[in-house]
Amino acid sequence: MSLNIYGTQLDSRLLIGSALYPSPQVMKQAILASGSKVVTLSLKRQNPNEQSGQQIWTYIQDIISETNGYLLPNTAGCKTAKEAVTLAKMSREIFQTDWIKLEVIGDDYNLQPDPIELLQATEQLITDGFKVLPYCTDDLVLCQRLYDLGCEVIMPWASPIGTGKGLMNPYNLETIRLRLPDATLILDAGIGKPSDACLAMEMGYDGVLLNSAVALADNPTLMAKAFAQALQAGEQGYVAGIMQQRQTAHPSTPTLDTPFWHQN
Amino acid sequence: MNIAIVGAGLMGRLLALSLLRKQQSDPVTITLFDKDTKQAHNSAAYAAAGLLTPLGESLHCEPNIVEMGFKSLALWPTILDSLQEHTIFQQTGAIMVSHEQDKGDYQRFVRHLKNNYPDDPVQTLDRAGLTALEPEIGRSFNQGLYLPEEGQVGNRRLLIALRKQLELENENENDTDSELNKTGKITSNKLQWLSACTVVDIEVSIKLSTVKYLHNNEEQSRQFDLVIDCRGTGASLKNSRVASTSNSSSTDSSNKDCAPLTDLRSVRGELFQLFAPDVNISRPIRLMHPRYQLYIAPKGNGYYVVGATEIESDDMSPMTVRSAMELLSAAYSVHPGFAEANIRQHVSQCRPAFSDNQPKIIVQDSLIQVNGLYRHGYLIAPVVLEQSLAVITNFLNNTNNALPHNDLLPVTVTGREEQAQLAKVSKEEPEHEHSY
Repeated sequence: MSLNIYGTQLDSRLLIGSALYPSPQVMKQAILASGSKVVTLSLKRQNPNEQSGQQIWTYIQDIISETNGYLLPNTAGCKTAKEAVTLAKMSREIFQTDWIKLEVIGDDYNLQPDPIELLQATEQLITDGFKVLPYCTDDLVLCQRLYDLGCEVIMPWASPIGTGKGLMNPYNLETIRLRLPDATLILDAGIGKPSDACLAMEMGYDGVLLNSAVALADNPTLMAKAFAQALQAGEQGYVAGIMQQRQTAHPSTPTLDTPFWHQN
Repeated sequence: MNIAIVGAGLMGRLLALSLLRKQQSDPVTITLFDKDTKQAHNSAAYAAAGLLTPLGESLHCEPNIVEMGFKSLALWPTILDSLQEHTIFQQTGAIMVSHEQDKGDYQRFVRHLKNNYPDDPVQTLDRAGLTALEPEIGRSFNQGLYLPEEGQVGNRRLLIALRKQLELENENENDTDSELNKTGKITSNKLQWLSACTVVDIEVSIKLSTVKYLHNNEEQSRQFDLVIDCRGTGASLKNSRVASTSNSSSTDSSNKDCAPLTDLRSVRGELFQLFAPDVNISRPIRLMHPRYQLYIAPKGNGYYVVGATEIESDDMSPMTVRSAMELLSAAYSVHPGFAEANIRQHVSQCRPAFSDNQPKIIVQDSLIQVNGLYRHGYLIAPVVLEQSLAVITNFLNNTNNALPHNDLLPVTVTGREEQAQLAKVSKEEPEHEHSY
């Protein structure tokens, strides 16, 4: 059972961010403990024109080499399609990857993605040969449009970035899963607890992307392990087939002391 | 005994002064190399706020840094009292506040202190308590934390005071009639300070190390019994070249034996110096922020330092608009009086950090490297100084005395000769816990 990112099969369904850890070394320990094969990386604030973040990029690339994993540069901090496209191109040049986590923020307070700019940027980047992993809100029509543009992977939010509020609207998320059965769906942003990740996997999501939930834990390495296990539990639960809920109790063995006309 | 100190930032100056004062039967001649001028405007120590706030830092560092911070708080007054020039030292506590939106981070910090530092004095403040301590910020916040043992030091003044002290004591050493020498000192140590002088190479060997440097655009070289490297980010792989001849099988100048600082990186920080005579804040204020550890440090006479961003980058270009907006809006949100403040200076600089964000003392034959103080330079400098001096004393006297802070700051030995000696001591070090 593997995660399919544009034809690349990965044996972990967890994608992990590289920000906010107490130190690069703790980040490395946490990433290794998570078993994740995809590490996201933001370069917006590191003066990419001058490649001023080279030291930390190399550090992250070394971790990825160790795990035989993949780097997923993101466009965090971009607010327009144009800005995001420029940064995506720069990322492709620096990191030699056509994968891009496309993030175009429309609101500063809750860092909510801007659907209009996101669609524009997606269209442009797909034309330019990128494999786009768009970060979007849990809006079915938006996800459908992204899929129609050629996004094989779509990443709706659980709740706003860094809030740890978990799955705010399970109905929307389930609907997207049901309506886009062939898309690779990764739940991105807002995950707080391992049980949030488990819930997403039980819904049939293909993967989970998170950062703060691990980086800001008291013990990031242990939390990374907890998430790895939660994802596995959720995935196995989904594959095993979760029983139907019932309105009334149904004893698994007949209650012999109850007259038959009283049994159901 | 000829000793070179490379880098005249905070650690370089503190070490130079301690060695100049060192009583040895064999006089010590110190050469202090620095690519900067004596003003040190390009040092990380200049672009700092001099906060001595161990608990305030504790959420983002390991417990040994916090302990070094508390120990250093107790050591600073003695260091400062030994200088002729006055440097501000304040230990009247610091206040931690948070805006409603960052309450989650604030609660995390409160929980962290409760779980990890239950015995350290922390007071929860309501609006009245906050107003009683800092009348002018009480109106902006409903609650805060008072960390009564935290403090700050006048970082820029200290760099000047150290420079003057080095010059003064060096003059006195050379003047046989001086008061200092009449007090019974048995040695006559000397200091030569080569500023605006870039070290381009350090060749390390067991007995003597060679420092190659550019002076007046000419490459020159000198041999030393001991080289102490305090270059900060200047010692990173990108910025330096350290060659080794101790491994006779290789003449390659990029020999891996002498590249223990490949792990050193730069972390960009930006801060403002503001002049705000309308603002009256008497102690450092720390403000919760999802990405940075923001602070406002009152420096007296209406001056405030507002910092600092933390960006994984070696970019030394001027402050970005985004950083400026984040820092200034933070200051304004704490006290509206900052709206009319003058921006006296905006500073960008890089902090030297290893991948575990821990300071390190690395001994390789006749080279001792002190680096990676990251955002904790002033916070932990006195402890790093004591530990470094103990390592240096062992080297000079060929002894193996126990080091004073091995539990907090273990020494890494990579050379061959000292390895056998110091490894014994290092072996006993307990691992510090990785708990946040």
